Amino acid sequence: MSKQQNLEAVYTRKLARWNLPEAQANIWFIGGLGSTTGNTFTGSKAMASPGIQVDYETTRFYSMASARVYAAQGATSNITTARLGASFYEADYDEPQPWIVVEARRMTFVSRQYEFTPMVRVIHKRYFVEAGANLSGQLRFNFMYNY
Amino acid sequence: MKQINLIIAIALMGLSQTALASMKVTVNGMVCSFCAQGIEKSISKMDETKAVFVDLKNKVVVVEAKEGKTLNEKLISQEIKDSGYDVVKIETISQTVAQFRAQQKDKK
Repeated sequence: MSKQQNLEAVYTRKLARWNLPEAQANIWFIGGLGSTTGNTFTGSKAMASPGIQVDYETTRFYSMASARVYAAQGATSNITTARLGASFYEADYDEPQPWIVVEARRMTFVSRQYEFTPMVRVIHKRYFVEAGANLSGQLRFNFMYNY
Repeated sequence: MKQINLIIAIALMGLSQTALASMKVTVNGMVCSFCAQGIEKSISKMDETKAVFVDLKNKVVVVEAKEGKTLNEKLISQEIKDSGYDVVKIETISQTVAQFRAQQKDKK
């Protein structure tokens, strides 16, 4: 199984936003610069990773798709991701809101196949927590705090 | 003289009503409490703000003024835009934030 590790500084910029009465949609540019190492080549290679992300969400529904190219000499790969989520109920601003999110992701430096990861997401005020596991049992955990 | 006193009294009543009023701002794009934290944070920091309430279900932000202070409509609107949202409408309401919240709860 091929493995690759990327170390990068990432810059994100909003390209467009649509604020609708019941929804919000965005287009983001994501760009990274860094280095990559892997078991299919020797040493560390300089890497640039431009990408784009689009998302659309309401208070009960979430969707996102992104694509990024990890360009390095002789070791270029890409990651494509799609996420769909639904909330159990519409929450007030100060109430916790649980979501079910399913992610499909393909990382070409690992496999040509998509991996599927169901996750539980809870948003409460300044906290954003996401936890799940892919179908092979590998755990995922994301945490954000808005300060 | 009586007439002048009456005019002054009416003017003061007007001032006091303005100072105690809240602003109800209708906002487009406000769908997530985590993302809307910026609105509450920036408006709370304003010197004239006593309380802020973000109502995600009705897509409104209610801002209550401190006693004797007047809310700055343009500044509030700008802070909401800077947080990444669109202001659709701004109204002055006579309710406090607590009264508005209670009214929304009663509607449920």
